[in-house]
Amino acid sequence: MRSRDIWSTAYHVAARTLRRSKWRATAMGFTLALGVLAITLTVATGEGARKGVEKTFRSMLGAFDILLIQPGGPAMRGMARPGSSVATLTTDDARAISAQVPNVRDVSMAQTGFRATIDVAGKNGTTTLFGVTPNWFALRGDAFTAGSPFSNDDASSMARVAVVGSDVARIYYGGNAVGQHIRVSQNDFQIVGVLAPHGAGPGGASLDNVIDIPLETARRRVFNRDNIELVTLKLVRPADWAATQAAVTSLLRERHGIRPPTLDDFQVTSPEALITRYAKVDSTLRRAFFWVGFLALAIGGVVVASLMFTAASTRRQEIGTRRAVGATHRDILAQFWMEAVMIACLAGMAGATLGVALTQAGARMMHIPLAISWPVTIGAMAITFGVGVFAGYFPARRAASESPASALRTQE
Amino acid sequence: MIELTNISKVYGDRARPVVALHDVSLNIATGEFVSIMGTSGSGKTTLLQILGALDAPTAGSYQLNGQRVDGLGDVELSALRNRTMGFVFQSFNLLSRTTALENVLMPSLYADAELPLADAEEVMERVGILHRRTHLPSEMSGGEQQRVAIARALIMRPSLLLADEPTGNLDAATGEQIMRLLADLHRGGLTIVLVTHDPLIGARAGRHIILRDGCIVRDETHLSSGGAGEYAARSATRAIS
Repeated sequence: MRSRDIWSTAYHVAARTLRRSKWRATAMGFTLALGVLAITLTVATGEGARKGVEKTFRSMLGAFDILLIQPGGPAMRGMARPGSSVATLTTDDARAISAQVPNVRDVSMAQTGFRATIDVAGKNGTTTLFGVTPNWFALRGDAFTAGSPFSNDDASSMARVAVVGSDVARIYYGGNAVGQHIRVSQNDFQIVGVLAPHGAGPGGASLDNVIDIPLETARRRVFNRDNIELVTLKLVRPADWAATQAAVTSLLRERHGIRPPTLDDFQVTSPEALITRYAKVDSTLRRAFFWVGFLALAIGGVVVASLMFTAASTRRQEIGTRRAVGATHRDILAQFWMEAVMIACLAGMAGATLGVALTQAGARMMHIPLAISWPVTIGAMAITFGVGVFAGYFPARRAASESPASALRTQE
Repeated sequence: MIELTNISKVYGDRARPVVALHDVSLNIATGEFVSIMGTSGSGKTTLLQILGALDAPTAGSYQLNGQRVDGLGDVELSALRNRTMGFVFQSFNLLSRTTALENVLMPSLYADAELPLADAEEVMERVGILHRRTHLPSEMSGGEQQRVAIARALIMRPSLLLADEPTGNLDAATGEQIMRLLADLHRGGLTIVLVTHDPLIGARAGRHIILRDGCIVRDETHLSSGGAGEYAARSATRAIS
């Protein structure tokens, strides 16, 4: 029967009320804001940790659209490690995968030798020696600061050529390494390329103290063995990695003659799985903080509800007066409800803003890896809104339930 | 204008009923200035609240301007209060930390359309409080606050003004000014029903209704309200004692 909108009236009235009583509104919203802040910050540090792990893994693995196949069963978890001597993966396995498994764009292979000795003009040390197929560099997305990767001809002719990491070039040659000779594990190699720096790997060690030589050269002239330590598959559709992983697993089990219940003697890993495993390390504490945030939201809801209940009884004169001048039952309900919801919304926004600001300040000033997770922050704000809706309804109903006469009668 | 027939109001539960009004019938014509007097507990505030559609009678019928009020829903009652009635309270009931102007405009929030500031300023001018329009209630004297409250009661141009002890929180001189203002408004055509326990205040009305234990025990009309004060005061005192 009226043209006016109850909710827009309630919005105006609630906005004026909140403007008049900023401190009450602040007290009501404080816990909610704290909850959103806690959730935003804990998830930001979590996201940051994950981004950090991702970054180190990217510099180690080179790319994420890949699958890694290593020898050794599920009991031997982790990356290829020193003395990884389980001789279950061969170049023939890699070729079979390349020929038979769909969704594989490219296959590279590597043999690894840890603690290979380097001997250059009186300086010596140890390094990690990789025997790799020429496509290894392209597949990893490796950049060269000087020279170039070795060729397929180098590979097939078992040429004594090497690509060195930036640490090797710097330490033994002061930078200008291309064309120089290097003695590695009693073999002479000519340096044809220097890799761009990668930085530290997941374990903290430098990824730049490496020497890459052609796989055939390594097999025949250095290691004298056929088994390989790592097969890297570049995928056509990285999203389908799970299906490819299953196809590779069944092919290798067949090739290795493994039947249930015998476990795999190899392992197919995706970078995602590796990162998740590493990022999990400090997640227990973070999860605790995350739930503290939710707890704060729940407590915030109780605070809002109880202060609104208090308001419903201390503001009976106001309620009675508003009823006397024409506010309906629903007007009062809407006004009090709107107050609670607006406080919750403002608190949510305040918490999120503070969280984002602190995250960015922290990331900039303290160089902590922090990253905002917008879905979580927006989700926390949405939950806060829901808390306001829920916590505000019952006090609002109480405020509106009284007859105008009894609300006015308590004034003296 | 107002036609109450056999109105009763009972509070409390069936086991221990408290009768606030008992079988009250009352007609008030347009343009009357009526005072309702009685001791506390006599039912005068209850009667005013029923007249103001703030409370529903337990029994009886209430007609306002030919329209039945009892049986109306909350939305209709609220609209009725908003458009037809103005309320003045003993403790002014202004919103704290809210300017006089905003207080005056409050009823229009619940009307079809919010009124322009000019309307509020006009009615504040009429009750002599325009100079305080940006002041907060805490910055005003009791008399000034009551003028703001009267302006709020008048802004929707009601035909009926209901005042519950409007001078109860004011000193005698200020109360006198408020009563003079009400008398002016009455002369302007407004129907006024005033509840008071103060016989001197009640005597300012043209018609005196005295309640005791929820019943009307006296209902007197005086042709000239001003001169009849003393007589009314005496008769009221007698009736109460």
